[in-house]
This record gives sequence, C-alpha cells and structure tokens, in this order.
Amino acid sequence: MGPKTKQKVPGMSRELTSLYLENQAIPVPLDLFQAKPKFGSKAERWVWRGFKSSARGDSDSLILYHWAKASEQYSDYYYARYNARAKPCQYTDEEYSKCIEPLNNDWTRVETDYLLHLCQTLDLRFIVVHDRYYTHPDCPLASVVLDRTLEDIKDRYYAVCRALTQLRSGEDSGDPDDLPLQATNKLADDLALLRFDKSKERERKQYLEALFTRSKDEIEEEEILIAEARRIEANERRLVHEREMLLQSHALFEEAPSTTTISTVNVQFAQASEPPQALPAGDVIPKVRKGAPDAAADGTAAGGLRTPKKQKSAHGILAASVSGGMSMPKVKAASAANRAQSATPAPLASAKMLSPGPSESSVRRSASPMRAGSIGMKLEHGDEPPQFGPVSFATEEHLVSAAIAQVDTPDIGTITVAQRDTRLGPGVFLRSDKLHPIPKNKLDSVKQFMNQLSLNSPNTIWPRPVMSTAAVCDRFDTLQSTIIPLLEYKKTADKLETEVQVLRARKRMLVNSMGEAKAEQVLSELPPFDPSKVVLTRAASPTASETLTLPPTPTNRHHRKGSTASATRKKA
Amino acid sequence: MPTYGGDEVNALVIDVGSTWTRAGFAGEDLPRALFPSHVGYIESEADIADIPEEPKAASPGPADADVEMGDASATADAHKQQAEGDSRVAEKGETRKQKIREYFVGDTESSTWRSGMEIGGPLEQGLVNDWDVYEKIWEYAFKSRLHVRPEEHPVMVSEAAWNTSPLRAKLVEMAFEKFNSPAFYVCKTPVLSAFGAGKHTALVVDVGGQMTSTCAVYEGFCLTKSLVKQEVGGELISEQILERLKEEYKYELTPLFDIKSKAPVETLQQPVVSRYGREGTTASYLKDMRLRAVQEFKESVCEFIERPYDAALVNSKPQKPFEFPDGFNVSVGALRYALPEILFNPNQFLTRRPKRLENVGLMGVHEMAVRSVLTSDVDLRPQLLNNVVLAGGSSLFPCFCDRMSVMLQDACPGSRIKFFSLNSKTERKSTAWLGGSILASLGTFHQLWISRAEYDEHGASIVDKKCQ
Repeated sequence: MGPKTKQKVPGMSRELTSLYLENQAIPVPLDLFQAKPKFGSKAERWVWRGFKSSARGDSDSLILYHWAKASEQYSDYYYARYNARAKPCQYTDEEYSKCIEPLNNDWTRVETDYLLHLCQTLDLRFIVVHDRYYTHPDCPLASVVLDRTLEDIKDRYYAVCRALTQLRSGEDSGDPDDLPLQATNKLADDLALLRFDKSKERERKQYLEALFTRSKDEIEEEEILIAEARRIEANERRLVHEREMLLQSHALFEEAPSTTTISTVNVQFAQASEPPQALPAGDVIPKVRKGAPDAAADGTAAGGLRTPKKQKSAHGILAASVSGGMSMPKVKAASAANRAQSATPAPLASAKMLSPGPSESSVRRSASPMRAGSIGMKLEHGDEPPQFGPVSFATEEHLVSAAIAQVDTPDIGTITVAQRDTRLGPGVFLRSDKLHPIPKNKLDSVKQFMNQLSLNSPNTIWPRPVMSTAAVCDRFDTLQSTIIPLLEYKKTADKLETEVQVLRARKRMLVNSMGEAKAEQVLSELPPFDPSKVVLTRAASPTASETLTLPPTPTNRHHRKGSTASATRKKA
Repeated sequence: MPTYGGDEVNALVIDVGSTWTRAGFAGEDLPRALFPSHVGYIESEADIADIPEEPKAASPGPADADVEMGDASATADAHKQQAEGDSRVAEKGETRKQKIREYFVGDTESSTWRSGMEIGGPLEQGLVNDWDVYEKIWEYAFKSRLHVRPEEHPVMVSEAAWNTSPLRAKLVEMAFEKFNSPAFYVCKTPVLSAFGAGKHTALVVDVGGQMTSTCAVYEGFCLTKSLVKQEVGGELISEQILERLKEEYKYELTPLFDIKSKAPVETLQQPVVSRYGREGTTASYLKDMRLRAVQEFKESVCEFIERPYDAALVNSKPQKPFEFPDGFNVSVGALRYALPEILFNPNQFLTRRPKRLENVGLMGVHEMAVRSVLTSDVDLRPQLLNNVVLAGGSSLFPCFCDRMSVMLQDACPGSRIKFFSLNSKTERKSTAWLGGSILASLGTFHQLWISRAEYDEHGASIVDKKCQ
C-alpha cells in the first residue's frame, strides 16, 4: 500500500476530494490497526468428555458426551442441581388406617395410592393428573371410580395431606393439646396451606365458566355499561369541580381582606321552582359581580324590586347574584355593624324578604362568612322535595361552629340539616379542618410566630390547636388571621427600614463629599416638606402598604424623610 | 459452561411428518435435512411367490430396476443391499417367499421416474403405518443426509399426540435394536411445537399435510383430553384443487416427468403437450407428482380473507394468474379463496369428499381449537388463548393467522387471544423439529433420555413411563 501522491485541489476539503477523485486514499487512523492480534494467554483446551448425571438415578449408567473445558472438573453434572421434584405426602400402612381411612370417602386405598403415585410422577400438576387419570399405564382401572373431576382429585389429595400433617404433629409430642404455642401456630399455618374447599372451588369455576361463555352481545352490553359508568363518574367529577369553581368565585371577594375583623354577610336568595340540589351546574351560570348596583339591577330586571344598597366597609360588603332559569336571587350583605342583628337573623331576613316565591318554606343557616356562598348545599328531603322559598344565610361571627341549615317544611316542621363545607367534601372531618388555611408562602413564618408564642401544634404541616373545641378553634382562627397581617406589616417595616438606612448612608456620603457647610446651604434651599406629594409617589409603588392603611409609625416617618432626602439629592 | 442452560450432547432430532421429514442436530436453528416423507419403492419377488404376505397389489414389471440403479445414488444401493439381506433371511427360512422392496428416499430419488415405482408415506392419520418406510427414512436422514453413525448419538423423535402404546414400543425398539442408539426420547408433536415457539403452556394448532390437530399443552404436558384431530390437511386441499380444475376447466394436470415438450397456449386453453408416454407409471407415482405440481399452485395462489368467507367480497378481490408446468394457464379469482376455505368450513367447501371422509362430521380449525379450549380446565383457558401456537406447513397460507384470530375471537369473545407463530416459512414448517432441537440441547433435559441400559432392563414399555 504505497502512499499515493496527493493531488490537492484548492478550495476543497480533503474528504470531499477523496470522494471526488476515486483513487484518493481514504484516511484511516493507523494506530487502531494491529497487524497481528495479540493474545494474552494460550487458548483454553476443550475436550470431548463423557459425563454422568446424578439426576438420572444411581442405577443408570448412561454416559453422554459433551465439549467441556479441560480445566473445569465437576464432581457431578452441572445441571443435575436443577433436578427439583415436588414431594407429595406419603403415608405408611399404619398412618393410612389411623387417619386416612376414617376420612369417610368413596376413595379406596388402591385409588389413593394411585393418586399419590400420579402426583409424584407428574410433580403435583393436578391438571395433568386429571388428564391422565384414566389413561396412565399404571392405572388400576378396576378399582378406580369413574368420572373423577379435578376438584375431586385435589380435594382428596389435600384431605390426605391435612390428615397426615395433623397426625404427625400430634405424634411428635404425644398429644396435640400439649404442643407449644409455636408448634401449634406452625401446624395451623401448615393446615391453612393445605385447605381446599371443594364446593367453593366448584362455585368459583362455575362463575369463571359463566364469564367465559358470555355471548358477544352480553360483552358488548357490559362494555357499554362500563363506558356509561365511566362517563357518569367523569361528569360527576366535572360537576363537583365546576361547583367548586363557582363557590370559589363567590368566596373570592370575601376572602380578600385578611383583617382581624370579620364581616358578617347576610345572604338571601329565593329559588322559585327548583330545589337547590337539582341545580345543574351547566344551566346555572353564576354571575358574580362586585358591588351592589349590579345585583340591584338584576333584581330590578327580574322582579322590579330593589335591593337596599349598603355601602362597603373596608372589607367590602358583597352582593352576589345568582341568576338562572326562573330563579330570582337577591343577595344582601350586612356590614360588620350588623353582627348583632345577624345573630338572630330570622326576623331580619323575613323582614327584608322581597321575593315573590310562593312557598313558605325557608332555609335558615348559619355559616362561616368565607363560605357563605355555599349555595350548592345538599338538602335531602326524602321523596317530596320541599319548595324553597327565600333562603337566608345568616352568618355568625362564630367561625368554626357547625353550620346548620334549618328548613321549614309545611308538613313536618323545621328540619335541621347539617350544612356541609364544600371545601371539606363529603364524609367526616375534624373541626380543626375548618380553620382557614394559611397561604402557603406564609406558612413558615406563621408557624415560627406561633412557636414564639409557645403554641405547640400537634400537626406539623398546618398549625392546629391541640384541643379543638369550638371556642378554641374560633380563637385560634382569630389569632391566625391576626398573625398574617401583622407579619405583612413587619415585612414592610423591615423593608422600609433598610431603605432608610441606605438613603442615610448616601446622604452622609454626599454631605461628606460636598462639605458640611455647603450641604446645610443646599438643604435650606429646598422647598418645604409636602406630605401629599410623598403619598402620591408612594401610592405609585406596589407594596403591601398600598392596601393597608399604615398607621403613622416612626418607620414611616423615617421613610418619608428618606424619600424626600433622596429626591433632593437626585435633583442636586 | 452454564450459559443459557444449554449443553450439547450431539443429539439427533428427527420429525417425520406425513409430507415432510425434518432431521438435524439438536441445538441448531434449522433442520439440516428437509425432504419429503413420501418414499418410492419398487417391489419385486425374490422367489416365486406362493402366498403374498402383504396384501398390497403386486407392482408390474420390476425388470428395469437395475437400469435405474445407474443414476440412483449410493443410498439406493444401500437400500438395495438391505433389501437383498432381507430376502436372504427369507431364503434361509425357506418357509415362505418374501417380497422385497427397493426404496428410494429423498427429494430427487423419490421423484425420479422409474418404471413400476410406487410412492407411499410411512404415516396414516399421523400414526406409523409402514415401518419399513419409516426405517428407511431414518436411515436416509442419518446416514445420507446428516452423515452420522446413529449408534453414537442420542435420538429425539417426535410422535403424534394420539400415538398408541404399541406403536411407541415399536419405535423405541427400532431405535435401540436397529439403530443402536445410545439414548432415545420420544416427545409429542404439540409439546415440541409449543417449545419451538418458546412456550410451555400453549394451545397448539397444527395444520399439517394429512392431519389437522389442536391440543392444549400444559407445562410441557400434552393434555390428551383436549386433543382434537381430523383428517383434513394440505394434501386434501391439493386433491381438491385437482378435482376443481377438472370440474371447472376440464383440465387434467400432466406432471413434469411426462412432458417431452410443450407449447405456449392462451389462457384457459387446453395445454399442448407432447408426452413421453412412459410405460409402467404407477397410479401412486402419478398422483404424487400431480400433487407436487399443484403444491406450487396452492402455495402461490391460494389465500384466506381476514373475515369469515363472503362470496361478494371474494369476487371483488383481484385475480391471480398461474401457469401449470404443462403450459395450461389460468387466472384464478374466487377459487383461490374457496379452496383453502376447506380448513375453516369443511362441510360447505369440501365439494367432493374422498371416501375416507364420507359420513364424517368435519369441523373448522377454529372450531377444533375452541373445542380444545373448552375441554380443558376453566382456569387454564385464558392461558391457552393467550398462547396460541400455529404450526405446520398448511398454516402458511397468507392471512391464515389473521383469519384464525378473527374466528377465535368470534368464538371466545371475552378472551384475549394472542398468537405465537414462527414467521419464516421453514420455521413454521418445522416448528416441532425446532422444539425438539431446543429440548434436546438443554442441560436439564439429559436426565430424561431413555438409556440403552434402561431399555435392556425394562424393555420397550419404559417408553410409556419415561416419555409422558
């Protein structure tokens, strides 16, 4: 392979050239090529060697030949170790007469012997045992009962095994009652393993048979039913989800203020024709609007009625309207000042009841304000759905007490229905679950705060009171909802503090560089301090203080000074 | 050594089917020898025949046997010697005269025309019928094809699932007495087929040349109660093809051996052939040659539709042209679907039943499979339907597997049905052999061989004890 003179084509890569010109040598990395393979050692010798396997039994002398490494020597044939066989139970004559004969069966000794023999030769494969039962060359046809089923065979085998196990365990200690506990347990385990219930097995197989012989139509029908069930399930999930969304949208503006004061909302709504639980989520599109005028407009449109307007407090008084179908809802909200009234809401509600609903029945309920909008209440009334007139929600300040809805029906009287919290879902729940959740990002700080107050929570994830009685829960919730805004204040305060410090440092720097006298002069030339201007600049910046009316704390004052100072420095 | 559980002991595996014989070494992936089981033989009488011992009709004119020997191979010579040996034995006895047969085994040997040569297979209904032919096949496979001395190698043989005890005894006798095998094992075809597909529990659907059988195999044991078999197979379809050709086109196939020259003809015109007009052609030879010719037709034209047979659908399918060796050519339409349909719907599509099948209730393959499933335990059924193994050459029709799947699903609507069939043609044909090859090369299998010592001690009955 003499190297050929390289023809270099200008402007072409070497690889391309070698493709283009056929005779060009293709570059091969030479160092990978070995002219002669190097073998580290001599090749292993293999010999054609005869072997005997212990698995074939001692009497047999068959020698088979295979290739084997000369260096390897086995005492026994390698694969003889895999010769595992099942060991079905065996009995002696004595044992047979003692425990198997009294088993009261239509099995003779000869047949039982034959059965065990088959079990042994076929390694307890009962299906094969059953298959070969009458055709096996060893079959003592004369003494075998015809038409043995697979269950018969299994039943007999396990009955024999059970009897033998019991007998042998008894023999060990003489008396089965004297057995140590451990042995008794072991015996029970052994017997449990050998248990076989023929009738159960038959029944099971009958079911399987029925399952197997289903016709095509039956299977199709079944599939359709399953699909239908799935659909219903999915729909239900969607329904729940939508309902939750609806409720959340209601709760939204109630939850917005996290202040220590709790608003009490008095909600009234009238449902003309339908019981509330029949409200299909898809039909009712809840219109939730902030502010009373809209609700009032709705009310006016529907029935020419005006909802009395109430002005919002700092927390916002809400009027939500749910319109759909023939329903004509009115939502009335009461301010915190009405708390006293709402404790006995019935007169208020009835006094303000403006709905022309034909029914007299009314639902009164007390619920937590956050969840005052749980309209999707589930009221079960047996066969006869009561006609719901105006329903008034009266919310107590008592946050976590069990919400109860009282339904007045004409014939039965007042029924008390536990009002479920939608957040909690169906089923049993703890009272402490009703506590308002802490926003996740504030969880740690709240926990820390509570620790500082040496309030130990039994729950490591959410702070929970140790003894959650209604009163404790209430106080706990109040505490919780106080802590959160306090922490907010603290955060803001800290932030402002650092800002002030930075500005001060800057001021010092500027003053130093300028010279103290000159600085004094510049300061004196500044226009006098105008607080309104400062408020304006502050309002533009989105901080927590925007929503909070900050009390004039020293920090604030500092801050104002600081900001003016910075403004002046910038000017300068 | 302990890799993959295999351990080669140079065992021979032989699977004699009704149409093809497969033989080779255990551990290999394909049989070394694959040749027709149909064997040619020329009968002659060694002495003046008084009472013919065998009921077979004497074949005419054995005179030119020696002439034919010229182009026969050494195998044929050996057979001749063997035959002469037999005749000498007969002469020694002096009590009766014996017919001697000269055998011609192998693809070319058996298809070469010889005057007075009959052709026959060793099996009838899957069971060995003609032990001489069977022995000749073994001899040919081991000595002429594999070139081994059978006394040095353990032998693994396949047998029909419905094989009888006396026949098995005879088989083991033959292996030990005539071939001096050091060790021997016989295993049922469905079990081997299942092993060939890599399953120990399976529903084996074997569509062979003579027989179609379905059988449940559970952990390497063939469940005899689930065995369903009937004498419908590839050869029957070939015969039907010949019949139908005669019926529809008034055409009788001239096999290749008789064609001296031929001329091209238009479609559906009778062939223009000049024949040799060979004297002494036997009926069995002619039939066998015709079947071989029609085999090609069957393999290249016939197929199934995926759905149950539907005349309208079948008529809309494209036609396929085919030219027979004598020049007759035809475009086959619906017929190519109707012919193999015998397998699924024998009662409707088997137009002219051969004598042996008259007054016999026949079933479709899928019905047989379902019956096999239904006769096995209900716990086992899902396992069986999940492991359906297709074997045998006649399962190689295009779309057979799809059709089978559709029919089975139709019959067992609630079950999950899965097919495990080897896809290449040779593998499908020799699925059982492959299973034997796998089994006989397993290290753990070697404890199961029937050894010479065991045979000497217990006699031929040991086969029923050891090979279950």
